[in-house]
Amino acid sequence: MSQIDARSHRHFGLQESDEDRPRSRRGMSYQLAGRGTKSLHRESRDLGDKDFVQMNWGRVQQNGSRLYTGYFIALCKSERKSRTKISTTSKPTYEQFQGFVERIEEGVAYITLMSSRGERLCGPYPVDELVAKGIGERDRFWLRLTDAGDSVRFDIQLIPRKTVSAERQRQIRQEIEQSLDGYTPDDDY
Amino acid sequence: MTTEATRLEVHVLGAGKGESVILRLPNGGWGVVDCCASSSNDSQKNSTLRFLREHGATELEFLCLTHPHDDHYRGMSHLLDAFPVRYFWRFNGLSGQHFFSLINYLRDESDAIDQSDEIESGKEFERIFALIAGKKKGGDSLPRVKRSGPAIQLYPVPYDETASFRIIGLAPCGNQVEQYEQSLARCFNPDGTFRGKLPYSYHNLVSVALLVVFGETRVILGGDVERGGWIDVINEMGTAALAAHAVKVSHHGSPTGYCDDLWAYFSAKGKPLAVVTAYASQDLPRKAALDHIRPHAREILTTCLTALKEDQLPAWTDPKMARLRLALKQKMGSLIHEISHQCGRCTLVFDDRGQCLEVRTIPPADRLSEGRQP
Repeated sequence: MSQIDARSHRHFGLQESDEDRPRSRRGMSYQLAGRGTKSLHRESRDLGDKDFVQMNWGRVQQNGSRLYTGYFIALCKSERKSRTKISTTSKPTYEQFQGFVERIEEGVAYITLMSSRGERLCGPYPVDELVAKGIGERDRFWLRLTDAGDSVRFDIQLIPRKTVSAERQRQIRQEIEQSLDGYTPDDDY
Repeated sequence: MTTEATRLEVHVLGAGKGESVILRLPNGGWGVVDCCASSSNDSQKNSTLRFLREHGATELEFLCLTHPHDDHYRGMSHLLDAFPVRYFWRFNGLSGQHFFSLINYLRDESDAIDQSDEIESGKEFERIFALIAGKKKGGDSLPRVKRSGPAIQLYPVPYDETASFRIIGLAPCGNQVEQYEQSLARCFNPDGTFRGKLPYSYHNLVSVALLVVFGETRVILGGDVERGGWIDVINEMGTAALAAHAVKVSHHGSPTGYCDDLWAYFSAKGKPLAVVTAYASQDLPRKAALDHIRPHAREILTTCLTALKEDQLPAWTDPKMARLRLALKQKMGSLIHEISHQCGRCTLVFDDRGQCLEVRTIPPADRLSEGRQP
């Protein structure tokens, strides 16, 4: 066994391998001796990730692979533990939308929410909650929903309007004058 | 048998945001009131243009822009590009500087919102008038631009009171236009720079409404006229002018889209067919409005039934994410997936004696029976 393999054995909580032992103590390390490779595979399959098991099935079938199979089972156990750990220590689940207030009518705001996956969801929203954050008609905002365990938290933040500079406004006016050159609304009858 | 020469076709299109009304005139010509393409950059997505081409239209007798909301003008430039247009009708008022102020306002406002579809909408309004200007500059006398208002005789040109087919303006009335112009002026500083935003609903103050007359048949296209606008229409036109065989319900079935007794006047000579165009993101039509209209209408049709349904959210299998979406839905009361809507069509065919010969709905358009309201 290489040094790296030995380290990974220790990392996954395995005892030292048979090959690492003195010849006199070899064959005594695992309680796996005498069990068929198929039953070992079944056990490892039950413990571990299916794809991972399949990927390693060839190794399990190899002659004299019992030691390796033991390592494999431990690896699966360790993998399962580590996955559980990821799931329990991961950040709180949240979803963020970019919102737009289409219209405020009789105390109700009608908003459109754009998700990061490109969905456009729309419907009414309590206007007070928006106004409290300085959000009015035709304003954009961020809405972040966070799973806080026993409830879902709603955080809203105004996306400030872009300040259209006097220069940009002049530019817009020039563009309009150019594009509407020849159109005189007073001529409409 | 009723041939094309003796029938009027009214096709109302909508995809859950905005509307377009296509009229097949008794003489075989075509007219369009508003346009609601999903994009003003891609004419392939323009259902109004596609319908006209599929039905062999080669020119438009008239094109009407009811008011400056993008769900009524998005993609109208495609129509001006694709067809010669004889008459272009727009909302009344806004002459001279006020008109340029409006275009400035739409561009400045969309720049400040800084969202691609808003910027696109601001430019589309300008593009419509730039195309008209371009045609005139090129020596083309058409389209002739006319402003609609109460009792304005729009079609035929020159107007003939005895003609079998006529179109008369009902709105906007003077009070509404005055209020709009003053509000718009307040959006700018004395030096002409942009000061602040106009309440979005104010654009409805100048919405056009039309009365289409074909012999004894009368169809009202209500645009987005709201309560105050209808009160002025009644005062200026009288109640008798409002009896109709079909009504394109104003403002997408909003409770603000009618005043007291308006629907009683619409149904004075028999209950009309009512067509509602949905506006999903503003939760329109609303139940209160449909309940108000239903006793006065022979039947209510909608261009986009799917936009009226809730729970259209895409499946989300992660239970934690589903929990967030559920909380959002509970907070909002109703939550609709906007982009799932296709463009539906309600087609009504009339003879000149007030008889409706055919009612057809192309999904997701459908009849809105009592049990299917939102």
